Amino acid sequence: MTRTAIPIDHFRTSRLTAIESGLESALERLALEFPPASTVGHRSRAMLPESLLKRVTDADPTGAYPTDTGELLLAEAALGDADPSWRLGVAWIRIGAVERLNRRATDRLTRRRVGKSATITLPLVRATVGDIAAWLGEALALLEAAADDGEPPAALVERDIDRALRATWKLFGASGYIVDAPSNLAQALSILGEVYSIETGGEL
Amino acid sequence: MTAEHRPERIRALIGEYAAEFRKTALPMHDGEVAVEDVVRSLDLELLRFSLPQEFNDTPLMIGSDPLYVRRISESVIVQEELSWGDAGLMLAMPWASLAAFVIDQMAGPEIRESHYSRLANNAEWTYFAVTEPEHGSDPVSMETTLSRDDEGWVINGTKRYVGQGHRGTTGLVFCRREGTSGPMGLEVVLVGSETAGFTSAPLQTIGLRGAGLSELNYDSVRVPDDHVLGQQGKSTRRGLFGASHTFDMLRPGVGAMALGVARAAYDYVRAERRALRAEEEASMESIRQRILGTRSLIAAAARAVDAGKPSGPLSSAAKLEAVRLAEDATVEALRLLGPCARLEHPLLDKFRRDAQGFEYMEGMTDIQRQNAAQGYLTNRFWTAPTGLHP
Repeated sequence: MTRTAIPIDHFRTSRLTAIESGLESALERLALEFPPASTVGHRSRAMLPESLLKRVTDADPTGAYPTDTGELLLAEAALGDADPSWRLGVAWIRIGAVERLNRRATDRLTRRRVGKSATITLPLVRATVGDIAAWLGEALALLEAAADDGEPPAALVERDIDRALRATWKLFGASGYIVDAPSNLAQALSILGEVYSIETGGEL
Repeated sequence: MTAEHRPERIRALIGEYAAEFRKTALPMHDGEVAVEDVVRSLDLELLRFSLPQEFNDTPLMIGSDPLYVRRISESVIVQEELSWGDAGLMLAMPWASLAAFVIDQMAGPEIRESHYSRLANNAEWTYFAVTEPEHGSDPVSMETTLSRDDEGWVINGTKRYVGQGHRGTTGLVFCRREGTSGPMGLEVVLVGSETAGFTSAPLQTIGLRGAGLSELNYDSVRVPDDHVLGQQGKSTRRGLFGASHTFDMLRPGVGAMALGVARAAYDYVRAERRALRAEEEASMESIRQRILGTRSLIAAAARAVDAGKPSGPLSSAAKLEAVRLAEDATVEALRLLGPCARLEHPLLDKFRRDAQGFEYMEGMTDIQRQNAAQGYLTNRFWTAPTGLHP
């Protein structure tokens, strides 16, 4: 299995790009340091912006996942072998994109009111935001430590990101269950995590 | 039929229908078949399962005994089983409506007679409109108004996330009497969808597509006097009472639907993964035990409702645990099927999407936690009929 050597600053920058500019820009930035074959994930699937997908397959996409800033396409690609470094980079990006989604959710809750109070001031809402911060913080700390210590504990990192994503998604209330920009981004992030999971459990 | 074996026999009978539900679950979720067409293809006996005996001349039969599902403790069995098959289709069934519970509680005999007589003869949907775009279901902030002029009552406002709103031929709308503030100024009003000034639009959801979530607009909609429900009762037992009492009664049912989805995910993994690692087997066993525990909690809440002493906090706890279980069971199922499970197991992906939807029904998790805490701290959690009151 190919493992491309990547300086950690590149991962850090990719995460910040996800926060500020969205998933497509972050994946394009991450891909700057990788050969095309590295961007193919598990089970020979690739989930990428169109510009990157063209590098790994001519096949028609099997799925299109809109986000808040564009669209990721899913396709099967014969080329590639789920490079662990690329998948690690995607974990960094997923953290950044959950932070982006969280900003959007908390901005909304700052504007909304329950009675005379802004929703964001309600103790249980703030407690949820605190949980999300702790999960994302732990995932980031583990990825940072992996730069020195080698492999991160994959299952824990994935669990932290997924819990933060689900909790952030719920902050949108029922509006997050309607097909719209926040749920689109959340759904795309969930599928992206499956295609490029750093955890590789499953069938014996 | 002996009372002792009745729940098991209901479960067995409805389980057969649930297996049929499963066959259309994915095509309906994917939009390949219309919800309305699937519903119309269902047996009339099943469609009418919750109608009162006097309006139901074709009941479900268990052997030679007719089955009228009017008790919550039996309704939750039906809801769990059918949701195991397809929670979306369970929610699409025309007569499994929140509105029916409020009609039973608050409407006069003429309205009740008219409502059920029409439903008994037609596969019609009804809706129950509480939530608003800017304030959720916060009763204090509700902005839809009921005002009175020389010609009678008028409704103005917008409701959102209303199940079956665009399919409903009638619905119940929660409004604030103009000029009032606080929870006591709320009224519940029966509105026909043909009434001038009423418009509706479906909302596309990520799961539970049979639920038919909708946005409803009321632009100077006129309603007759007797459609403002509960006017003969005390003001404290009208609008908000109708909503909160209905939620207390219905939360065990929402819990039962979530439980059905959790069971579906559990069974899916058992069918797909014949061999599990020790850690994975332990996780599955934990889910199995939680299924049993949650079912017991739902049953306790339902018995309290049936005994006429519903415990809102207990109903909240039942919904809380069931929604948590549905989330954990579907997330764990995806994990156990490995990378790309959502792509390679579309039915499991649907279960995951459906499980998310229960969070938003009849109050989110934080509301249920607060209800349970408040009831527990004030010794209102265990009502006498549960047999668990200290």
